[in-house]
Amino acid sequence: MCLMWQRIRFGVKWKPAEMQALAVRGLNLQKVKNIRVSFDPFHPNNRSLREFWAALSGPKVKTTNPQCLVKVDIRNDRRPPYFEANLADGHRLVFKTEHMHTMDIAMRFNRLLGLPELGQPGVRSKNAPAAPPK
Amino acid sequence: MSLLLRVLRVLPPASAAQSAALSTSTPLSLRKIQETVEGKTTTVEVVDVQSDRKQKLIPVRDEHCSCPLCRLAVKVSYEDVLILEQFMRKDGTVLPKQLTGLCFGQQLRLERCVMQAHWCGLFPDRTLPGFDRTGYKKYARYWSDDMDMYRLKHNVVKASWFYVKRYDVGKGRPYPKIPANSAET
Ligand SMILES: [Zn+2]
Repeated sequence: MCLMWQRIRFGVKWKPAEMQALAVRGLNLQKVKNIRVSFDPFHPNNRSLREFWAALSGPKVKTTNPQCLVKVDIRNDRRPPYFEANLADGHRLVFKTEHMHTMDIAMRFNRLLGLPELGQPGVRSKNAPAAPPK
Repeated sequence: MSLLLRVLRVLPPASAAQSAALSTSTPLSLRKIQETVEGKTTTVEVVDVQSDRKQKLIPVRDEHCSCPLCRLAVKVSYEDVLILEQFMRKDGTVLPKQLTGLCFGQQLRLERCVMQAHWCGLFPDRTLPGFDRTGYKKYARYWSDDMDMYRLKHNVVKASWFYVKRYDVGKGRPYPKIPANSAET
């Protein structure tokens, strides 16, 4: 109809998949000693944690710290899912992921580890100049 | 954008209804991610956001839809600027369905109403600077409905065709009638 309508329709899209992919690509386990993922497979809101677990066990993420142990605890008690990460400096992160999206988990995890939320490259801006060719 | 990411939507069905059984008004249908630091442990969890205007929230009725605009007893139109702007960004676009918490129909209706409000110049500081004002979009106008943008009306102008056809068709049939909504020229 007109440009404003295009903008309204464009702004109405919510596609967290792109940010999720960026955040997952930016995962780095160097500061992490071990991770314990714990969820009930029959709990309705465990999808985000399962996806995050799949992201953690990707080959590129694994090579960032081969010593990092990812332990999975499959429960049968209908309790909400969570995961704990013990960091090398003694800190401990507990994520209760019941209502979180995978994107939120990955971005928040990156931020708490002191990494850029969306990895080093980040989101490409429309107005930014193109990267110089190598 | 970072604010949007922090605000998640409450899924309204069963669980919310059970927990809200004792309260007369809805909890604000927002959740946020909260970080709590205790010693060396950081807990990240999602908590419900409590409204500071609890008395003024629209009560939940157990009917077809529990989205805020369906619960509202009024059909929102483009004139309800204060309602519309609660679902809008600073740049005048509408938030996605996952964040507004509206049902499919109401979301589309909201987008149409926002567009009409832009057209009427009710959001002068949020409209595109190059808002297309050519041709039929020249003036702010009155809308009778949210679907009014799509309702095309033919303006019948009496022309040569009309007069050519006004011959006697015989057998006592009357002349073709002038359509009632035709323009008077
Ligand atoms: Zn609804």
